[in-house]
Amino acid sequence: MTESATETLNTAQAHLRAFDALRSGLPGAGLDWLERLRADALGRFKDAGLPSRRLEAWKFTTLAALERAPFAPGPQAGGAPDALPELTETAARITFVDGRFDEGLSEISRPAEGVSVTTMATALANDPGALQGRLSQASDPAGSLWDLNAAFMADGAVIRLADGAALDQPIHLVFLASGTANRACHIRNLILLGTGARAQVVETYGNAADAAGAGFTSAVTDISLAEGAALTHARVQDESLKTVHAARAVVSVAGEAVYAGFALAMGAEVSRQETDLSFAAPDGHARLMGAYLGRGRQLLDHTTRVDHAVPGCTTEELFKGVLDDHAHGVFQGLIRVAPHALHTDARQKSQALLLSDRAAADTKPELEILADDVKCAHGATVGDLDDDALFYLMARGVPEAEARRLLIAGFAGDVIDSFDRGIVGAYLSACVANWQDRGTGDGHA
Amino acid sequence: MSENILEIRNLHATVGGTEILKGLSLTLPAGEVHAMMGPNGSGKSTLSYVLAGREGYEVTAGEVVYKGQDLLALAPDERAQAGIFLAFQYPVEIPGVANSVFLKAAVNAQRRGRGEPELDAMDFLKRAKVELAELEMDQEFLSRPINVGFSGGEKKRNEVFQMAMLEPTLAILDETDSGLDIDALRIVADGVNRLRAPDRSMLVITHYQRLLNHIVPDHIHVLAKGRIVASGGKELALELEANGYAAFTGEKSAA
Repeated sequence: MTESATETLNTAQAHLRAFDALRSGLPGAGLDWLERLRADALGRFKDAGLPSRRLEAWKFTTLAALERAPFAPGPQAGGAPDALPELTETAARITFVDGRFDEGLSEISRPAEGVSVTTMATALANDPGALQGRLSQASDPAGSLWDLNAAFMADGAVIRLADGAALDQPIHLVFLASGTANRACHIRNLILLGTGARAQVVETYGNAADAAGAGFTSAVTDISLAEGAALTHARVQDESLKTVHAARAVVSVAGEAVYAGFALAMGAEVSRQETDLSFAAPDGHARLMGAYLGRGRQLLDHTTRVDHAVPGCTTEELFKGVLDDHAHGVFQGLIRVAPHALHTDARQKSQALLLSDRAAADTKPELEILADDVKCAHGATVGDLDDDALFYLMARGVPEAEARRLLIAGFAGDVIDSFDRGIVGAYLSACVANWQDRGTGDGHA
Repeated sequence: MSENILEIRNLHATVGGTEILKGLSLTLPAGEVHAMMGPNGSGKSTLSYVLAGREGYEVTAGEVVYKGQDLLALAPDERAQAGIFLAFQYPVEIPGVANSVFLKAAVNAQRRGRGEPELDAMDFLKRAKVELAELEMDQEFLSRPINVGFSGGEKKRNEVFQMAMLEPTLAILDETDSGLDIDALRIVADGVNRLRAPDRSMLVITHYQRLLNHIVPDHIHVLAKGRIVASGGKELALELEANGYAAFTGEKSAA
């Protein structure tokens, strides 16, 4: 104790010191393969350290906040959720506070035929074999945060759908941070869809109503879609402005399966949402979409990597950002097309709306195309609100502030419309409206 | 009642430093429909934007009095709330904003501006359905984003639909006939004619006489080089159709 009083640790050091004390209490403790996975991941993290801006994959996004303070895992604190929009209908709702299951805030009593919804801790206790080989680790040194997550993953949701199973209503996963100072949470979710299965999963990251302290949330969702399966997957990041949020979806798409992912970033001081998708068999489809809505000095980063290693797959990407004040938005999109991945069709588009002279957007499209006979395209725009559109609305009697609000909602709404017009889309729109309601919204603050 | 809705006196306006309107005067009494005709570049669209309050259209001299008040002192939204409606020559496409959301916001902003109670969603929808049917438009149009992917005819019909919903006192139609085939022209013109009323005035801006076969004006004005050079009854349109604008502009006919 005297040591920590005289020395300020960073997040990496705090984790390395905490590991031995925590490991026996982590889910799946005693499982050989998992103990090894955690130890290997920690070893690699120890070598790589936290990602720095010297790495190409992190050139726009700094994790200095993690260097300044010793964020570390700790015991669960309670907390009632802050006022967040609700999905109008759900098949199940699981809530985690500080990364650990909170039964009182959850409702998982209605699993449909062939659908299993449980927690990572329960699944590791009851049926660990089903998870072995399913939990991802970092794929390169730039992903050392994901190794840190693998070493410390505490809980999360495990959703499995049998062949042919289908859910019409979304499953809602809610993750709340209590706001205990310097708390780090490592969340791990797993979604496995059998042949032809269909599901919608929404992850919402928020904070407890009275959350006050700075925190670090790390969340990895491993997803595997069997042949012909279809997943609609939305991640909403609306954490407190003192939070560093780092999330990754690792997706494997089998033949004729469809993954539709949406990442919405509104909260956190620094937010990084990655999607790492690979096609395991021909004729798969990916739709990666997202939006970032930033104010103050927020830094909101969407990074995607799509690997077209097999022929006949399609990728459609659309990301939109609204940035006010000093906010900074980042979109990085890598699409790799292997030499034999013929008939690949990959399109990527990013658009940023700057509401203030001091806001900034960085866009880095990367297309690595090694095959002939493919269609690939990307486009990026950065601009202000359209004066013609603003005048059109005002010429109908809509006051300027309301017209700007409609146009901003419309700019973000456009990508939500492209993604989903059902329950999930309506929820995302409600989240955007919630963001608009609580802000200055027009950059003149 | 012969109250004047609009009085324009010696209006001069510049766009980007170039003077486009050079002393335009016009009086539009209540209940009348006036046509404003003129060749390209005569200032027709500039006049419509000046009246609607578009940024970048600077009035350097003259005045515009609307229902007894100084129109130029009002912001664009205030003008609309006061009952001015501009049907755009090129309606703007706005992805992500549904027609219904936009129009309900406009209707209620205008009602608020006039101190009237707002329409709720049900009443709004009921009225919208009636007007859509009159214009032979499908209801699903309401959920589509504003003008996105619309044909030229659909965009113009949308303008007339908005006009019907907003019930303006002064409607300015800027080349509403451009880009329309004959069927669309008839539907749009019928929509406009249905809105003619003793307390509503219209300024119909057009390059061609053909729209005026459908919307018969009380008066016709010829605009050339930023000024009205001739005014008369509807026979003036026929004269223009036969002889072109050259006789009025003092130039040789370009076509």
